[in-house]
Amino acid sequence: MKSGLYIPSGLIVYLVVTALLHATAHAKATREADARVFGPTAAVRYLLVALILGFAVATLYVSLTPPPSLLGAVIFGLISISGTLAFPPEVLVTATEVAEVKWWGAKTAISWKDVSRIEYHKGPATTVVVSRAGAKVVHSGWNRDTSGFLESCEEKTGLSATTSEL
Amino acid sequence: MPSYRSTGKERDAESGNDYFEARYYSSAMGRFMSPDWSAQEEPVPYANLEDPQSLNLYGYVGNNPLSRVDKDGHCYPACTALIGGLIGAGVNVGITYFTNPNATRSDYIGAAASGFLTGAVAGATGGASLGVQLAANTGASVVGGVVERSISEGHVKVGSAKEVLTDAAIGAAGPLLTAAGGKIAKAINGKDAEALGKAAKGAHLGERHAASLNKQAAAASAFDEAGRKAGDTAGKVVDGANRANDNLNKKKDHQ
Repeated sequence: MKSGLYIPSGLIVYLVVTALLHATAHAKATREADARVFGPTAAVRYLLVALILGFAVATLYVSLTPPPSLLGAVIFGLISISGTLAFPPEVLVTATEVAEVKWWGAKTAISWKDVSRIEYHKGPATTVVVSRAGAKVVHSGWNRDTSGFLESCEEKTGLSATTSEL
Repeated sequence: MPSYRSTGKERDAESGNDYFEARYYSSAMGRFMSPDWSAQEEPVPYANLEDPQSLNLYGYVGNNPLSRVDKDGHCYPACTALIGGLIGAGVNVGITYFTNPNATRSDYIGAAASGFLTGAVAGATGGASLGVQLAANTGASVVGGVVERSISEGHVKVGSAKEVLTDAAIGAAGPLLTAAGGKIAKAINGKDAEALGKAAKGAHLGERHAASLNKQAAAASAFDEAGRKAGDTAGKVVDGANRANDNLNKKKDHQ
């Protein structure tokens, strides 16, 4: 890092990211009608929206104000776009199916009887439910109640999750 | 040099087919060259009876390539890493803003890139074993430091050995601190559990003692009742004897 003041930044970044992941993993799922909803927590949701908008504004700023910086526009733009695309979806668990609804409305639903396998990736604390047709519902580390979701999937399908380190 | 197609798959120069790991795909025919298969034996692998296209073992993504992509059958969940990167970039830019009043535009761009990298790796490995976390985060911190210095300086700058080693130590410190914190919390929770166990045991003993006292009190009460009954009986016997004595005296008086 450049100066003494920058030295703890890597550590702070690590601690903030892992603390938020830990808090999200232990937050309880909410209930909506007959479904359990494993969305991101309100704090994570607002933080992500603020960061996506902030980096989008920064992209415009470094592109339009002199001296314009192409590298800055690319880096800030990619960060903003990647956050937009990877924004954690709402994952819904009902008695008959598991579904994932992206923020732009795209929905993937898998009936419990069509689930062919369940994968659990320990590193990113991500559970992937895969249907026989290859469709996937992804419960990422930024969705609530990691262990509760995994237990629900195993209980409703009778399958055991295959676990991998990453 | 291999050529890569729209989904990032390598094209075999001799056959013109694209390599999808499990099987080859012919873009000219729009079909896979062998039927779909799965490690687990089943009549029609990955079939969904509500979607008849899934019964065609030679079809590519249900014959709907405009809206679906078959990467390799194992979609890696990168979402957690990307969001970790976004948060890391924001945190690092914030730290630069508050700690370096003379920061230039390049400093902020470097901080964002470095923070994105370290945050993404932290997100991707946050739940992994300590060894994986140590290796990944140390590496990410070193690379992040090089990226940040290079962007800030405007040219590739690895930095001095001291700077690189400091970055490595900072990268390793996060997982080590978290692991140590986890162990301390576990130890404290363990002590709490031990204290609760002792209290519960004490309460159980107290309960048993109270039950024993209750039994003794009940026995004393029964004994008391028996004594009272015995006293009543004795009183009746005495009354009877007195009456008999009175009767005898009356008879004597008559005679």
